[in-house]
Amino acid sequence: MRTTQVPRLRTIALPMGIALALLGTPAFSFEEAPMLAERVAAGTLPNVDERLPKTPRVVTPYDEIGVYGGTWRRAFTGASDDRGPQKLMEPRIVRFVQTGPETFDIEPAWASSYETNETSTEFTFHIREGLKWSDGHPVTTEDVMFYFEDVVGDDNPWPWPSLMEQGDSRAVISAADDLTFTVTFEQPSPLFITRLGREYVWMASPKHYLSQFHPSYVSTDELAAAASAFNVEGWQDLWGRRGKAQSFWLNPDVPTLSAWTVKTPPPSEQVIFERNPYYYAVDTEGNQLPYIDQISHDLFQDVETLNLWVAQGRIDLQQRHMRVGNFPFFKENESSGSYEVVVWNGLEVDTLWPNQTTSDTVMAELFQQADFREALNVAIDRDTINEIVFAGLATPMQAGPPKGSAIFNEELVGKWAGYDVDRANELLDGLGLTARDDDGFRLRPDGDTLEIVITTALFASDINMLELINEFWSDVGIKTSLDVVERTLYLDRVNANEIMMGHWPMGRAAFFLIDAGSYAATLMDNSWANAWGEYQLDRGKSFAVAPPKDHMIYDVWSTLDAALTAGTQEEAIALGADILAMHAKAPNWVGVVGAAPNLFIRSNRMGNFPAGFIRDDITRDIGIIPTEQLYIKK
Amino acid sequence: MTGYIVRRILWFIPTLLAVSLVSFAIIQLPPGDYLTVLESQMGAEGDYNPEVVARLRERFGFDQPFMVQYGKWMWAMLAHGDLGYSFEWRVPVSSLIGEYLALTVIVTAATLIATWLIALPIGIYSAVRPYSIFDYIATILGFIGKATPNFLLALVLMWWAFDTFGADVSGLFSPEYANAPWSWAKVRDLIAHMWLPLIVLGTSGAASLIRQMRANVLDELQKPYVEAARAQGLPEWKVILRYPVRVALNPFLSTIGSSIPELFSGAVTTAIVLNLPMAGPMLLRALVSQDMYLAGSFIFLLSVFTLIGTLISDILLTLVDPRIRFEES
Repeated sequence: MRTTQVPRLRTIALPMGIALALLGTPAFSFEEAPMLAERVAAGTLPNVDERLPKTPRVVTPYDEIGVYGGTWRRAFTGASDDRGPQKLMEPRIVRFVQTGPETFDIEPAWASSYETNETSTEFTFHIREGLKWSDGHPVTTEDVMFYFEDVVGDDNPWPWPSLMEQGDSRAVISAADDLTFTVTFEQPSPLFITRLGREYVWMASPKHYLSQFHPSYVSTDELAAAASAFNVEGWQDLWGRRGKAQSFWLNPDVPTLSAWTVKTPPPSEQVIFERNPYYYAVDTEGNQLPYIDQISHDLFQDVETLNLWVAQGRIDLQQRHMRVGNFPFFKENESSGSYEVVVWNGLEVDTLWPNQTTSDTVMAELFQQADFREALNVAIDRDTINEIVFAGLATPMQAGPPKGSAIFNEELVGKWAGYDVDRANELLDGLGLTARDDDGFRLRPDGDTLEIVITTALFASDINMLELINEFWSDVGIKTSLDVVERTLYLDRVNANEIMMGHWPMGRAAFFLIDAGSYAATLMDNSWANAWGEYQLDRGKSFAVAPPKDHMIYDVWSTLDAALTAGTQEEAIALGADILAMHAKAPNWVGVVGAAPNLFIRSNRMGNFPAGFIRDDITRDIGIIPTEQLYIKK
Repeated sequence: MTGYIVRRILWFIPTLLAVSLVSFAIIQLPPGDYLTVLESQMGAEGDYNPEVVARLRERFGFDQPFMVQYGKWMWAMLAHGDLGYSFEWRVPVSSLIGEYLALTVIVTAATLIATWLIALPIGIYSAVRPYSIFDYIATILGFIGKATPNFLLALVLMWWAFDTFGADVSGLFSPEYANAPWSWAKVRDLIAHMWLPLIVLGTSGAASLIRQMRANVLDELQKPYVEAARAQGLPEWKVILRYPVRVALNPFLSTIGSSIPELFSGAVTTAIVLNLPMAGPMLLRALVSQDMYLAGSFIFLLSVFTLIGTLISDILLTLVDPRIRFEES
């Protein structure tokens, strides 16, 4: 039963269905936050009814109608941590929403609705009538056309987004009137809407504000003046993700469509966001959202500092930078810090990637043997790793989209995930790897010791896990050595095909077709065949080489192409399932454990935050819930 | 004396140029550059767009040879006092590091002064009363202080403060003052937060100072001129303070120059652990993200401080020790 906290608001509980009823005609006048009411009374802000669009987005709070006010306290690590705050308030035209324990969907956000034609080539969007930027200026298709004509593209400040391409041609965007525009592709783009919920493409830019920094609209002198006003070298530095004028978190003046806008930007020790008075959503009782007045982010250097802040109750709601390994510490201090550890389900799987095209040709040939890869898999005791490294909280599994993903293959995630030393030895002996060196390690066909070098980046790895794997593989006569490098160096090596076996989680599994590189060997961070992947990408790398004839990877590539240009999303999903089935025949990698819990620290004063959702980059992490309906209890 | 100081200052110029060249080269030694770091961040976020990186590479001049990049940086610094541009924060370096450097200088200077105020009297007393109970206690504490790594002490003290008082002792300001403009209340808040960094940073320094001071004074006390002074009937405190202590101070004064970078670098780990808004953590972050002008400027300014520190210690030496004289020729 939902109840309200504040008598001022109507105390009658509302059924879920009213949300839909409200979409048509608002039944009553809207309520607003006290801090905004003051400004309205002072005459510096229009009435709430004038600020909201005609049909606001109606958000159903998870537990109860909230109360206005308060500051949501979080922490951040510096200038490069902008995705943390960004994911709380992405100004999306469509958004992911969780619809059940393991299902999610996409719904319009600042668009009131959208239509897709039957062949998935035409997408028509309707902007909410009366929608306004955070400075009160109306949002129209002018802003959409400005984004595609002047902001992104070859001669514009930011490159054309890959989302707006299909095959070799770019989408055409056309505006029918002030509020309606259409995106047209030459080829079918069945995943366009889903990708739109995930890619960093906002579909509109505030023309009335940003055009003053654009060479098509103002003179060179004015651009130079703007650059020096922002303290940057040239007007180009005003644009882009970290552009001083365009960035949502560097420029307090840039109009946005987010629930909060930045008030104190970095490089400040404390970055503060404040509510957008024109935000387009209301709750089921007509209270304008967000409930929370401010979000503050304190800068921390070392994660131990953050842990201490958690224990002291200085964090209201945060998952970013919270490590699963600290679970016992977080639980222990729940009462003293007056918070609760709320668990969401992660979809990543810790995975080792044997590079079937490694420059060591003997190892490459071994890795290409399905029997060898199976031996590597079944020689690992995943339960022990889960107990020791993940406090038993994760799931021992093969790498693939875990349960809860849109496309799921039970066979793949269970395949070769058991522990069977005898089977591993039998397979290795069967490959003729019977000779041993003085230390008992097997010899390769060329007489050297069979040694696998695992390269891992500090950022991703849990060294304990790799050391355990080292022991398990030693038990079957395979020597391993660890090469722990910095993240940048890892990328350098990957790009030069200098890695024999990489270690990197397989992620973005909620809807794997959106980012299917792991399956096509084209995502270099976790590629099971770098040289083949480069061949497919055709970026002119010298080590790129065509896979052997009839290799299954050709089927993966062609099926993936077919999926990405299928007529409908359902067809695409069916083809995606085929790709998973191909990998289920013979896993090309060594998945270890996955679906580990993701820990949210949620202070006891934070209301309307659900437990047990999926957390994935595809579904925008915490952004899968409407953060605007979170509230601070009085 | 004036001529000496002027000559010393003129020598700064070639030294600084050499230091800047070396530091700029060292910053560029690791593989990759800021854009490779950016690429890896974008890759981790599933937002990799090679064209963005290519455009930035051209924009920031990363495709130019090393000497050109260095020349541009130096020229901007000499001609316009412009320290360059921080890629990561997207602001000029000069606007970024001002407050961090100021806080670093305040904390470092306060630590240095506190260290001396604690260490010198204890060292002298230990020397005058060697092998007394007090000397033993000072010695034990000194060895413990010297042997404990700063960051560990910081962690232990933080945990102790949290566990005992439930207090947050990290940072230099309370959250409500972090963004506030400077005021007396903010200064008071700073002082209230300063004791922990002072203890942590000062402990090992004070410990070694005590040991050195004790040894130096002990050496001097054996010398005949001390006997002579006593024989002349001078009071004991005057004998000790006027002669042996003055001589014993020489080694300290000559190390002012080098103790500045020592404190600065010792403060890096401590500042990270204690979450202090000081230069050290920012330098480390700049190095990790290969934000080269920011890192280069920090190292450059650090060298300037070191040189100034050396000059100060040389001047102080001549003032304290009349045996040191300059040949004016």
